[in-house]
Amino acid sequence: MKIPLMKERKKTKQSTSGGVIIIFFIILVLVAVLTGGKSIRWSNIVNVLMQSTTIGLMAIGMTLVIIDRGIDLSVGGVAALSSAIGAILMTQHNVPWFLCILVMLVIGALVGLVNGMSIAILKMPAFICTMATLKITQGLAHYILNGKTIFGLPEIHAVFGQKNFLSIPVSVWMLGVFAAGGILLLKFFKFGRELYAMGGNPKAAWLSGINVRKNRIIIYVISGVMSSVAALIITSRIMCAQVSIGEGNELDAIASAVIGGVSMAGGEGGVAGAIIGTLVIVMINNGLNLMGISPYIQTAIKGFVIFLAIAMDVIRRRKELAD
Amino acid sequence: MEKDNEIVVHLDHVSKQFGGIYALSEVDFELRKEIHSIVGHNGAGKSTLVKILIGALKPDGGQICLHGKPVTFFSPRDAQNHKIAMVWQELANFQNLTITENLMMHRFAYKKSGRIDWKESHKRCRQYLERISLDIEPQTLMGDLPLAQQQLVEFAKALSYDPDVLILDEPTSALSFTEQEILYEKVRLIKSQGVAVIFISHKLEEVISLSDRITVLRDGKKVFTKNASELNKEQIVEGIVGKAAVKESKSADSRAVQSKDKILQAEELYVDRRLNKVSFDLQKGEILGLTGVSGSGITEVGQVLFGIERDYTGRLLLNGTLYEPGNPREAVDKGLGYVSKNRKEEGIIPGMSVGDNIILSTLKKISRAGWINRRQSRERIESIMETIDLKPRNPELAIGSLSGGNQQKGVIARWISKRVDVLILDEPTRGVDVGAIQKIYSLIKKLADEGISVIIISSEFEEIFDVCDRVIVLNKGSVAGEFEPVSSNWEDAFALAVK
Repeated sequence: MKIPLMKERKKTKQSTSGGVIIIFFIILVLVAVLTGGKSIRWSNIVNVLMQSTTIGLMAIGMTLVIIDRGIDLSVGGVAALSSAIGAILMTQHNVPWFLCILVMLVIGALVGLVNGMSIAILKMPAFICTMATLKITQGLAHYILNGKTIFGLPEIHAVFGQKNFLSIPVSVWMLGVFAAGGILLLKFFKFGRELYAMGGNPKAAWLSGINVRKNRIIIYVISGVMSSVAALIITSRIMCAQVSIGEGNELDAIASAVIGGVSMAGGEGGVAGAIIGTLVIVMINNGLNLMGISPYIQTAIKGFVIFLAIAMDVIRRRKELAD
Repeated sequence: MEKDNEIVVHLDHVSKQFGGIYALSEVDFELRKEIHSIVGHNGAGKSTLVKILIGALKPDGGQICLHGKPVTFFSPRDAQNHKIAMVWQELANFQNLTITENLMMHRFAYKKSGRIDWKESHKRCRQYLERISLDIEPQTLMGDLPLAQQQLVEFAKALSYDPDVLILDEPTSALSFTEQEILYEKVRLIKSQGVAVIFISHKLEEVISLSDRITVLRDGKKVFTKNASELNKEQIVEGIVGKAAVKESKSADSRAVQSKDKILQAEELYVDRRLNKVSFDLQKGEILGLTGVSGSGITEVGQVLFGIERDYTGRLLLNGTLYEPGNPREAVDKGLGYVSKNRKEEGIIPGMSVGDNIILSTLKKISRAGWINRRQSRERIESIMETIDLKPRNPELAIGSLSGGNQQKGVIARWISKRVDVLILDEPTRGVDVGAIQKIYSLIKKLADEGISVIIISSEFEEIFDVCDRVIVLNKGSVAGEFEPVSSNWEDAFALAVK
């Protein structure tokens, strides 16, 4: 009898992979060297963290969605629509501030609900469905703003984007709290286990009695709400609402998740990785700015780094498969 | 007429072994211009023989001769070039393309400009279809055809390469009875055009009426090749299962079913084309076997019970009350568990850990407001891994990296953890290494002793007779008989299943 080859037994890949941490440090050192240390001054670190908050929040929702083999392209549109409606309500209709905040969050939840129900119940492809809702929300936001920028948000609204708490910006605290929530949700809650199962093998998850439909709707609602929270921070930082809010954010959020080790094939990765992925993207932007490099080439450089990160990931995976 | 007796293919004492076990042992097989059926039990060597013929496997010993000349096939392509064609059991066509596109894929007619000449391509395609008197428009989408016609188009495709040998692997398993008749007619037509046909089927009646000669394989050896006209079904069954073995006394390990309470009753289950008024009941703590050959409907029974197949009529009672599962989740909530025969696609979550796989359906029980009690989870996983002796005893490993047997234990453990009342196992030993099969079965017995009612769906007659308290045989979607393994032979059940 031939002795069967022992297969190398492997651990699962639900925690942050080493790959993204390595990339993070490479970029950190590289940027620090190239900017002559400017990038690692405290003020700049805080700046990078603040800039990471909006994409980071969106990346949290995106991570949940991608783990379930889906995608949410509507995050930027949701941020735009939330901002527009929130600003109009605050400045022109005398609605109490906290109620405006609530409305902004509800908008995110509603768009997420529409996405989730269309994808989970009508079985629409996530890519197409969320692309359509991106256009709908973006278009509505443009229509509401009518090309104008709306100023005059109440003083108190500055709390999310401009105030500090224990000498750390409130927005960074917010990202931290939601990221921690996401990590806990995936690791310690029934919901998280079921989500990985759904992404890892949808048919088997369904046959295990998991309520696939309900869970799927919930992740899109979470993704929508995260975008609305991001909208709170953006409008607070610039104290106005304008049409450019949220533009292109979906791709940065997806790139963050993928750089952070969340597999587009589903069932792998986590929130912590996605946040580090966001930091990588923002650090590159920030470093290029500090070096005074033309903003026109920055997009191409960012694209190149994303390309490299994903290539590394694919090669690593193939090696593991070959083992 | 003499030419009809020419030997087209001769497998001269061909052998093939896997890991020291002979899958095929010195089999001498002759194919003339005839319809030649190969029959045998699961694992008798049918598929090995076919794979050698089509160049997918290389024999360890013996020689393949084509028209009297020795040949060696290095790949399926080699065999194709030697005019050996096969129609697979599973259709491998393009549902989204037309018949012409399916048939003419590599050989469209072209105009001088390089564009595809559709008119000519359709015309050629129609000619191929007409060879087996198929009257279908070549522009029809493959997916718009009923399964039986798709099957026939596959025939036409295989024939269009002018094969000398055509191998048909269980072509009728998905067809209705009238469709089967049409298919037999086509097979005879193909033979009359001078093609040697190898027909593989479990259905002995069709084998006898269709074939010129029949070869029976058992345990990798040829039992006999005889003219179909000289054979009756009993002789073939005897060839397949061997001389009825003396019944060993089973009293020693026969289990007493705890009670006669009926936990599950199925009344006249009917699924179009698949099941025809199947009724049975399941007692508490009983191991019930549902057995039959492929296409008998055994898998469908499990799918109806677990809410996967919802398009059925008939009535299910669970503990005496009406039970109508709308989806697997409702079935799980009612205390049922199901292990699919497709472990990789529908059982394990390969990237998740063994522990997470085991605890997956029990998460509700061990969590409060969604927060999993880690200690409870760990203890439960550890104790279950101990009970089922899952190796290696490390709940952190990805289940996809374990052996087939241990993966299967992990999937069964999911329902042990859930403490289901009724466990449905479809082909629980498929893809499980020989050594682990007994372990799976002793685990099942242990579960039944603890009061779980088990339904084993399997076409492994011998195994199922070893482990079950009661066995129901399905044939063509209907109940063909019921057996008590203590006092009967699996060979009799097999005879009913292929009747």
